[in-house]
Amino acid sequence: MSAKVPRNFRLLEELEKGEKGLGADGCSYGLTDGDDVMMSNWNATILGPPHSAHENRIYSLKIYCGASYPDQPPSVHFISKINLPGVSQTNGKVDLSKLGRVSQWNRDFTMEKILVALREYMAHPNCRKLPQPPEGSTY
Amino acid sequence: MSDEATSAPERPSSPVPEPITFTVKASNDSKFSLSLPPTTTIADVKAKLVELSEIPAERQRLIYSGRVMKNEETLETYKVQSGNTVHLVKGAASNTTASAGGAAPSTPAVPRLAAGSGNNPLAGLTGARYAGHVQLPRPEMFGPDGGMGPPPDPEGIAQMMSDPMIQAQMNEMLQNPQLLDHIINSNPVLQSMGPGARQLMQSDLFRQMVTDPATIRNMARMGAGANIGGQPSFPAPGQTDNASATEGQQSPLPQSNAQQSQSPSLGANPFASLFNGSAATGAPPNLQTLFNMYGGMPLGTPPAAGAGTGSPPAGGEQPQQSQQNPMGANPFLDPAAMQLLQLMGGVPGGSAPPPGFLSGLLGGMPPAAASPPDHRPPEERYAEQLRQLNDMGFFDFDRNVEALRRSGGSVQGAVNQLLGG
Repeated sequence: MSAKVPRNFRLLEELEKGEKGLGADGCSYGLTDGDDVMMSNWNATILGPPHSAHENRIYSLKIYCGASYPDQPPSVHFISKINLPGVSQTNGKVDLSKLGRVSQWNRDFTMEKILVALREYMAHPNCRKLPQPPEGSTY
Repeated sequence: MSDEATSAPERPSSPVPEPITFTVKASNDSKFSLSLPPTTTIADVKAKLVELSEIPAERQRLIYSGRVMKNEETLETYKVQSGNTVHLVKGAASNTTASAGGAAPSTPAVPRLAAGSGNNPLAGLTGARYAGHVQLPRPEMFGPDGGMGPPPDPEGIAQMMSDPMIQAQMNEMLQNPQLLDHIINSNPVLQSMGPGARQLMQSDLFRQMVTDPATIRNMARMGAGANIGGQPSFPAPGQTDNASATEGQQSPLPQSNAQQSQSPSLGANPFASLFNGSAATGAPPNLQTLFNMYGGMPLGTPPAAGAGTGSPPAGGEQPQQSQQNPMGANPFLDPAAMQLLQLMGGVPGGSAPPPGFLSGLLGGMPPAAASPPDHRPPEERYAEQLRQLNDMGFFDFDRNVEALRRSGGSVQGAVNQLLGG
C-alpha cells in the first residue's frame, strides 16, 4: 500500500506538470493566481480536437479544487460557451458523472485526466458535430 | 517544485530584468527555446516565433498555465518561469474573438492547410480516418465506361442524401470553414454573393435544407417543373393579387391534377409552384413577395384544395408538409438566400440542371468517402426511411430497423429484404 499523497503535494505535482508542459497534448492548466497558497483555483484550456466542430477553438475552463481534493473530484466549469452534453448551458458546469472515464472518481485521478477526458468526449461521434455557439462567447 | 510555485510572487521587479529561458512547444511536437526579458510583450514573442514556427503572428495562440496569453500582456503578467513551457497553437485566421486578444485581424492570412493535404480541403475526406468505413457507390453512379458519368440525377441525389451517413458527412463538410471557402471560391456566382454566401451556408437552416432528402426532392421537382416550357405546374398558394400568375392559375389545372395524382407531395409543395410561377414571370422581386406570403401563410390554408384538385390525400398532406419543410422559416426574406435558392433550383433560367449546386457539391466529393459510424438510436437515424417504409405499409418497427441496418439505410434495399425474407 502506497502512502496517500496529501492534497498540497499532489497539487504541486500537478502544477509543475502543467507549467513544464509535460502533460497531454491539447490541454493546459495552471493556477489562476500564483499567490494562492491553497492552490484552489485553476485555469485550464482545452484545444478543440481536430476533425470536429471544435477544431481550431480554444476552450477556457476554471477548476476549483476544494479542501478534500483529491478525495473528492474538483468542480469544473467551462468559461467558453460550449454545446456538449453534460455541460450546463446556464453556467458551464461540467457534470463529471456523465464523463465516461472519470465518472467514477478515484483519488488517483488528476485535473489533467478530466481535461483529457473532456477533450476526448468533445471528439466523440455523438458530440463532435454538434453546432457550437460563436467562438469567444462566455458563460 | 515547491520553489517554483512559491518563488513566483517574490521575484523582485529589478530594473535590469534577467531574461527568462522558456520552451515553446508547438502542436506538431517541435520545440523552440526562447530567452527573453520578462517585460517582453506577448505580441513580441509571437513576432519572434514567426520565423521559428512559420506560423503568421495573427494565427499564433500562446497558452500558458491554462490561459490564452493576450498580445498586450507581458511574460511577467503570466509569471512565466525559466524552464517552463508555453504551448503554441495555430488558430483560425479569421479569429477576432477574445482568445485572439489584440491580434490584428485586418490582414487575412494565407490559409495554411495541414501538411500533406496540399491545397485541396477535400483531401481530408479521403484520409485514413475513413478507412474501413468505405461505402461503395451505387453502380448507377458510374457511366458505361466505368467512369463517373454526368452528375447524378436528382432522384439519385435524393436517395443518396437519405442515407444518414451521407447526411452526417454533409453536415460535417458544411461545418468546415476551409471547405466552405473552397466551395465559394470555386463557384463564381457564390463568389459574387460575397460574405452573404458564407454566412448562409453556415447557417443551420441551410444545412438542414441541403441534407433533408424531402427538400432535395422538392427542389429537384422545382427544377424539373421549370423545364416544362415554363408552364407553371401549379399556382402559388394564397396568390391572389399577382396578375402575371393568372394564366398559370387557370390553364394548367388538369396537368397539375395529373401530376398530383402520381405524387401528392408535389401538389402539396407550395415551393414548386412558387418557383414555377416566377419562372413564368421572370421577375425575382415577385418571388420575394411570394415568399413573404408563404412565410405568413397559416399552415392550414387550403390553397391546394381550393385550386380545384379535390384530392384528399394532397389536401391532407399539406399541413404536414409545410410543417416539416425547413424552408418554411424566414430566410427567404434574406436576399442572399433568395439568390442562392435560385441558383440551386436553376429557376430564373429555367434550363439549368435542377440541383446544380448539390451536384457540384457531391461531384466534388470522392465517391468512396463515407462518414464515420453513426451511433444515434435507429429511430432517429433512420427516421426518414422508417417513415417511408411505414408509408409503404411495413409497420413492424423492429423488422424495419433490422432491414435498414442490413441495407445500410437504403429504403429500396430494406424493402427487398422485407419482401424476400
